[in-house]
Amino acid sequence: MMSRPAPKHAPRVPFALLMVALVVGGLATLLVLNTASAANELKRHDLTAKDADVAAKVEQLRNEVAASQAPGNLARVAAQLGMVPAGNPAFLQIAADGKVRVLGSPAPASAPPVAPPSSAHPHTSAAHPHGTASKSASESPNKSARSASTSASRSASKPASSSSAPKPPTSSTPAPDPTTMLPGGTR
Amino acid sequence: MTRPQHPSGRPQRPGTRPQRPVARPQYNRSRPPARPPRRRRPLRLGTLHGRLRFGFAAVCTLLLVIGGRLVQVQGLDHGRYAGAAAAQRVETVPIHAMRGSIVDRDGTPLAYTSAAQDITADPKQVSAADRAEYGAKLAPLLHRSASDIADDLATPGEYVKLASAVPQLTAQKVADLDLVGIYQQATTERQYPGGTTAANVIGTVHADGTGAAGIEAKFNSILAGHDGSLTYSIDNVGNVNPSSRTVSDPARNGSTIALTIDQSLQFIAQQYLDKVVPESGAEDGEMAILDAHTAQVLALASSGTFDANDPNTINPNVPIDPPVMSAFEPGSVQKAITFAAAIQEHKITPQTVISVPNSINMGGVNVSDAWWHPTEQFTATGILAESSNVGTLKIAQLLGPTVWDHYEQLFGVGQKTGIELPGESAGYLPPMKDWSASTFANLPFGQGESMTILQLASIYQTFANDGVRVPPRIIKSITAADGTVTAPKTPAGVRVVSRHTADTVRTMLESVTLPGGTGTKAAIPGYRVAGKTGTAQQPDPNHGGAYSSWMNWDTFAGMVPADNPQFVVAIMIDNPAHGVEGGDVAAPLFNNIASYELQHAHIAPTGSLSKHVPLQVCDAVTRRDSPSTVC
Repeated sequence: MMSRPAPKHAPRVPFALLMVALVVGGLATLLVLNTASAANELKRHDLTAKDADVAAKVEQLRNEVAASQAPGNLARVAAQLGMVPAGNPAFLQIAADGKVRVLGSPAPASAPPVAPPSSAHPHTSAAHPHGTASKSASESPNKSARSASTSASRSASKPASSSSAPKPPTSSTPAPDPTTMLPGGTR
Repeated sequence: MTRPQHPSGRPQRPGTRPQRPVARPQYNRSRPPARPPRRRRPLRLGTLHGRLRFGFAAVCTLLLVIGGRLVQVQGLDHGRYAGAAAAQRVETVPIHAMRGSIVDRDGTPLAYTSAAQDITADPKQVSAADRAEYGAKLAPLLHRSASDIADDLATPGEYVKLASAVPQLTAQKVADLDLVGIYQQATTERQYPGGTTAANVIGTVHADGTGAAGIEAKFNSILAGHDGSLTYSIDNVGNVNPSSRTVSDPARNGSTIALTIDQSLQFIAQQYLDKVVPESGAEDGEMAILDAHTAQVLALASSGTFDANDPNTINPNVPIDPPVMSAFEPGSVQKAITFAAAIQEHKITPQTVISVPNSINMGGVNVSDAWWHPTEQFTATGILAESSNVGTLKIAQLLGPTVWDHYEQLFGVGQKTGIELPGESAGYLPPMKDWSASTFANLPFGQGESMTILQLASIYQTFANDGVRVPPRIIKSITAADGTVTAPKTPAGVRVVSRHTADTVRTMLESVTLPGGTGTKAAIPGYRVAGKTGTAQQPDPNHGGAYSSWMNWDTFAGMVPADNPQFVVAIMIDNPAHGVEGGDVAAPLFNNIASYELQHAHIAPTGSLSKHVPLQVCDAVTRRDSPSTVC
């Protein structure tokens, strides 16, 4: 033991340090991984909740879109906006020689059957998921169609935009020029 | 013989144990001590005496029992025990398939399923003092009264359902209240955004989500899809073992069914019927609208339809879907068949003049026209346009019963159309063998037989489609959950009359809506309209089923434009109190509906002129007083 020609073992201090470092490093890695796992779990939980939240909102919007697409609700909202069914329009047939023939009898659209509500916002009514078609809206198509047929013998003397709707549409269907009017249709 | 010397040198005396010297090491301890000599016995085999034998038998029996039990448990009952073990650590939960949607021809949803939550409670976890507070908090969200909720929470037991199929957003608000003992269960809700629109066609579902009526019932298996299941292992307290999650069988969602129905047209049709029926004091109204060439059903409406969202609105006294389920006597609208047959058989032309008295005796009964007139010289067109029963019977006599019956069969009278809706009525055409002497005095103008409004529309579709009757269909396509689209095969058309005959009948039907005809109220300015009015007498149950003189089925069937038909409309108004003729109630309704659909479908007038012929041979006075189309 007196002489050391060559050390048989590595120095002990670095080895101990290495071991300590490995243990500490391993523990630290475990801690980091555990923390990351827990953090991811929390994130996953939050995202799942958010996902459910968004899915619920999408579902709700889908329901609202479907309800708004239903013709009953469309008709009611249109009536609230002061729109009226167009009825039966007249057609102009231009012959090869330039002569114009009127098919049908143009007549102004009739007044909306329901007065637009003064307070209700038009968009709120679309949100009713199961809004059944209101009876009042049902009267609209008939009135205008009837007025079109009863006034069939006369040619309209004023443009269609002069209907008694409270909110007349700004760009109405252009009425035929009175000078080209011919009486009656093919009745 | 030398004895071993003791190390000590002292001789040992036989028979005595060696004296152990004190504090001296003993070197031969392994050596066994000498034993005292024993008396030798003769060697004898041991016999199994009673106790041993008994023990051996017991052990053998035990081993046999254990072995047998081993075979029983491991071999014979293996499956049961393995199953019981699996049941303890494996859990299977069903994955519910989403029910398919029903959409209209443009893809707008008529019925679909949305996710929802059932709100449940464990009353044991809610103390009596908290019930009122729970009720107050939940009442606005669940749309129930607070006291009702409190009452539910007072029910004994560990489960009570507070609300069914609550929307997801509402369920989240309930969850945000953080109420102990309030739970949620995922469920689904069938939505009918149109409410009453096409409800008679779509039908509705039972509380368990299976189809109860209409398309929902007829195509239930296609709409329902197949439920799947999720299998995973759990530990002894029921926690999921995270490493073993396996979806063994994914759910296959139901298919989406696209109808040929046009939702807007269907809505308008129902609106008009719901308006006209009470206005005219009628009991019921029905309407069928078909595409002229494909015979696809564009609308199938009846008045007073229920709201598909609320089964309580279903009237149990009327059929769910009257347009295919209930038949009525068509009346004069069915004269078109008699005329088409006569033209096809070259018995008449539109100009054929027939002397028509006010009444005729046929088969022992007197049949008269609906209005009084002297004997007139009507053209065939005039007989149709003014709807003369007497003239129609004279034309039917030219045909004879057998030929007439043959054409009725070709037009599908008394036969189901085969439409994909449950409960279709075939109507009734009396078989010729059952005819009495007077039967043929009624049938040619549409009394004594019955049909659904869909069958009536199908008859006029034949004229609109140049003489080929295509059985009407209401399914446009079926889209599976994986996106594959299958369109049902269009049924083969039946050639009923020639193209020329169909064209001729259309021209004659145009005269009905022209001045002098019975259906002038159906005329649409600018368009050529072909159609026919009908007023059929109803059997009066209070008078032994004899035909009533005031109870009528008012009908109108027609097509627009007459020279290039795009769609066919058939209308029936049941027993109107005001306006008793088909031309008074049904014809204006046709006008309204057809006017709407012409613009809705962007159909422009053809601009051509009608080739109508005079209705009658006129004298000078009639010629002066009548519209130009009459003479």
